[in-house]
Amino acid sequence: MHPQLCAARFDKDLAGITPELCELRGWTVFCKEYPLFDVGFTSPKGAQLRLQVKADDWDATPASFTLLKWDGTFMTAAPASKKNIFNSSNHRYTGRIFICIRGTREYHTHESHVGEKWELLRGKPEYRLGELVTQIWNGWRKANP
Amino acid sequence: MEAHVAKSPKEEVKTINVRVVTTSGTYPENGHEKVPLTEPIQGILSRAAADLGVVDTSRWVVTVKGSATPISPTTTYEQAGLHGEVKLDWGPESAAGG
Repeated sequence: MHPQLCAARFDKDLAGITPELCELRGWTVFCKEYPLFDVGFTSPKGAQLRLQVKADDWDATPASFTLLKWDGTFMTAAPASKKNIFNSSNHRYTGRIFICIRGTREYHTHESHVGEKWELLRGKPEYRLGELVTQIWNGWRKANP
Repeated sequence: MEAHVAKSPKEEVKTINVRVVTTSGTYPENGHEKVPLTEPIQGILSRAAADLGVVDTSRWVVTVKGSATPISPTTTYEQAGLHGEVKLDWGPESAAGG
């Protein structure tokens, strides 16, 4: 897709990531400029996770999600989650641990899920960028109070 | 003899100021909506969904700041222990990992 159209969809999807929402959820935005959305989660007891979303060619192609430590370096061990959303094996394309839920690029390119087409999810409310990040935050925070 | 004790409307209806916050926007756009404490939370969620254009919220959960425990939308604010002024954080529950 044309980069300007991708950037417009990216901005529209993330328009709801406001200071009010971040204060409510304990989110810290490090970058929100197409094609990168870099956000950190802090739990009420101080657990932290940082997520870098690369949404180039959004939303013709699913966004890539990378798990980071707070200092921006790659995580090497999967954090705890209630629904096993973090896969501790190395993804065949990134070579790193990854988030394995529908809607992430790593899910749809994983050998177990290549038959599940992104086109069937694209544009649905749960699979917009803000809602995908919310899903991951919800999966993480229950195991990291 | 029956005793009639008149109650003023202000005494009868206890209210709460509510705001719904989502990644698709907030409802109302500014400020809060004043609703009866006895109203189920689902009421304002339905109005928020319509206003924000969110068509399917079947897997969405509502929480309040500092808690990961979802509040049932069928409970009233009173039953959920909410009062005064509250922001409802509403968004999709995590899917199961593959």
